[in-house]
Amino acid sequence: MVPPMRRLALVLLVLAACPKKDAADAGASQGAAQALTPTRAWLDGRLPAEVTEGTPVKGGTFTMRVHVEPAGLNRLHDQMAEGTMSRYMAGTIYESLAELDRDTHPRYDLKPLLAQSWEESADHKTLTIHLRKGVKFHDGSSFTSRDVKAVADVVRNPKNATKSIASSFEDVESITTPDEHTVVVKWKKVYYLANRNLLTSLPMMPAKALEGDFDTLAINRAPIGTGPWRFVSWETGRALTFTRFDGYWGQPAWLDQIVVRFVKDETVAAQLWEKGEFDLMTRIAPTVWRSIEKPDPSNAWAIRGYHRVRFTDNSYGWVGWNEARPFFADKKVRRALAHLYPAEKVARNIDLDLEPPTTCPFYSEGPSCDPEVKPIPYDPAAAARLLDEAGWKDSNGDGVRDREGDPFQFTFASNAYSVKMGKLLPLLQEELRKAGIAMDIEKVEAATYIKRLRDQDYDACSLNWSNFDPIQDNYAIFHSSQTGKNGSNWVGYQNPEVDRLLEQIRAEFDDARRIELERAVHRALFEDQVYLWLTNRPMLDAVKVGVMGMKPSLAWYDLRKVWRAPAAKQ
Amino acid sequence: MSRRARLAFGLLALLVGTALFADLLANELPLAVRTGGVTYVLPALTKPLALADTTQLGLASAAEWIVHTPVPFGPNQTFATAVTRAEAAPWAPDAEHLLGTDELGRDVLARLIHGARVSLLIGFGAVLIALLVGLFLGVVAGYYGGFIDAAISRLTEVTFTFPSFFFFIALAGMLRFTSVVPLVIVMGLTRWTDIARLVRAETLKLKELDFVLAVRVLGASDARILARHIVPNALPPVLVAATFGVASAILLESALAFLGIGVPPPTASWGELLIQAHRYLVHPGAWWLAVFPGLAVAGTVLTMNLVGEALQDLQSATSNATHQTR
Repeated sequence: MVPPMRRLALVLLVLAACPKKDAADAGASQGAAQALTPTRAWLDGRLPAEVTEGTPVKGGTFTMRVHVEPAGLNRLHDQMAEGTMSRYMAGTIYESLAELDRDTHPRYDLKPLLAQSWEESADHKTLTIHLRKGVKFHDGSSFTSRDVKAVADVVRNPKNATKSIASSFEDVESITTPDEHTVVVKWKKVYYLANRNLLTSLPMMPAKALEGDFDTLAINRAPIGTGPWRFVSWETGRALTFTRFDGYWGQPAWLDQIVVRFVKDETVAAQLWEKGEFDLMTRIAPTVWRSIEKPDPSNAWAIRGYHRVRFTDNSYGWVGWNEARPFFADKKVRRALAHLYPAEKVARNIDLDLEPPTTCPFYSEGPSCDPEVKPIPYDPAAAARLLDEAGWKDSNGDGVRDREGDPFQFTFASNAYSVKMGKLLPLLQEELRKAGIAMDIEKVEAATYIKRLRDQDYDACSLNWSNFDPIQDNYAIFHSSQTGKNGSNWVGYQNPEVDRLLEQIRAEFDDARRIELERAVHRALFEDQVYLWLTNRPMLDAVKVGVMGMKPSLAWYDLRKVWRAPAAKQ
Repeated sequence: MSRRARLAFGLLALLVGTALFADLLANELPLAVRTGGVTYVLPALTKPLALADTTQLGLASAAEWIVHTPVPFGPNQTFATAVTRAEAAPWAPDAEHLLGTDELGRDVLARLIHGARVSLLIGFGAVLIALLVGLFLGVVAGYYGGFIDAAISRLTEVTFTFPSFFFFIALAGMLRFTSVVPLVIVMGLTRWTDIARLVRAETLKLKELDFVLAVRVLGASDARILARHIVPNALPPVLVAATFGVASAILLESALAFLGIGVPPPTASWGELLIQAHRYLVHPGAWWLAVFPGLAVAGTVLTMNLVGEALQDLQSATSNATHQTR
């Protein structure tokens, strides 16, 4: 017997699913519609010039949406080294010795931060860092060379869960502190990114706070840094609050407070955004981005109330074919699959023309990508020829190609939470079926997914690589020594020529020569179709009108420069 | 049979019919067509290679004559009518797509019709497995008693207290769900406890009744007593419980699909449409993605509950009748 309540609940569920129809359609006048037409800059996602003009004033709270909540706020810890929050906390709570200079896009030169200056020895094996004087931590203690050494030692301690960051410090021979404001780092081997990594990737924390069990440090929940804001509270599942640090060594921040709102669900986030809850809305879904473009009164809140930001990050999506599988070991097959990828259909219907296609494992707006490399066009006939050449023919007439009795049938493992893959894979499946390739789709829960990739326990997979630094070392991703647990070469790619190039890059300090080598790597990887390169995923954000000083960059927005126009002050 | 019971069984027949004949109700291939001098009868079922890459809309102009399926789209046919549309999918209901399309331009009605197959397969499949396991364990526990009973009862309690939802999430990580079958099996294997407890209680009651004692005195084997006398008599109340189980399995599938770990794509399932509905709730709104699958799930669950009640009424009517003749 069904209790009556349950029946009622079912009916309510259905009713709740019916959306309210906007009554606004009827009331829209011609004039209002005209004023609602979004500007070109708004449509393109370029911030208008006036956002970075004017005289800053102090005061106000800045609320932003973050789509993922980390397990902790100690970005040195593997379980807490979640990219998004680490990026947002750099420069707000924490500071490193140097930072990427946002004014030198797309190069991003180093700019002193907690280090006043540094010198590199001629053989690149010794780095002498001169620390800024008079810098205080949020707990009132002074920042000295002892703290730098403590942070580096914590990272290098094999007992600590710091694998994700420790790889940059494996070749450290010694770190010494001749005096309170000098640090000398000696390297065993030369490496072109060694100093850059060391200067930019270590958030400085007080040595005292790092004593004790690394997994249960107090700073994991309540970080202490040297940045212009200090930590106030963390309501798990809801929000983080930072407030201005009055003892800051540099120009004091304009904003009184920063509130980070954790809203994972994109539909919920869009609704809160519409209610005006966010000064900065991040990661807008492409469907939402496009749907608010209609010059309709129901979109007035977005068109009038927000500036949109579309900025190409150093991030690309790729499909990996496990080269340990007989079908994918052959380069011809991988090229054929690229010919079968319906790029235009995906761009139009899934990416909604927001994501530029890419062919390159380096920063697409930097110099390391060879502009001569062009995407492989969608061409089923060419794919069929390549598959025939590779010996995959439909010999038994069942509609599926086979070779030596094995049908070309594989499973595409996809992250269960990826909205894009959920849409893309049925399309790809349809294309492959027409070409005589049977593809199954398996949705894998996110936590297991990376493990499966690392164990090379999949046929085909897809992921995004992101890097905050425009200079990136692809050794860990494509060198033959980096398969399995050693690195991130999860497709099992092996090419001695690429290995040699990647090794050469690591010891090349001349930018021009390095870029040549990187372009050679780009060409070779694309020629081999190690990945099916998809698109550069842009940052799709929106900034509330009246929030000033916002400017996107690879190093994210510089919140130190952000202020609220008095009228918009809360 | 009451009017309500007739309604219940009528709706059930409609659902089962939809699921069984889904291929003839909604398909990219027509019911029959004559093209290029060849007549194809029911290509929707035979799937001739010559028509592999064609659609009903494409065939219509070239064919001498064509008999369309009621819904001229297949459940996995993407962007079938994209040529005539400027906007990005999902497209709202119109003359072409009566219930609209999803984000990949797939016809919602076609996906609902084929989704009925998945939902019912999951509902009935899971319950059938649960029924077999529950019946066996329940009867054995109830009939033999003692240590066997204690062991089975504890097993039942442990399984019962398992939070099945989280169990599924964990399991989805370990098993590879590339078809519906493992999902059905796992659901069945976690949902037998109600049935086992019910059967055990029935068996405890039945084994003391005169007719069972009589056949035992006649020297019947345990197997014969269980199979011929206890199980048939324990079954009616169990069937009632099972129908409700069908409803809850369908709801569980929707919930799992919502988490992205339900039926693997591109299989049409009602839950899968509901996840999309969630994404298209406001910006851009696509109410048809929520309303129609929602109605399908709610309608099916209500139908199964009505069927359960009808069975219950029938059963109590017969048992009353038995009492009266006594």
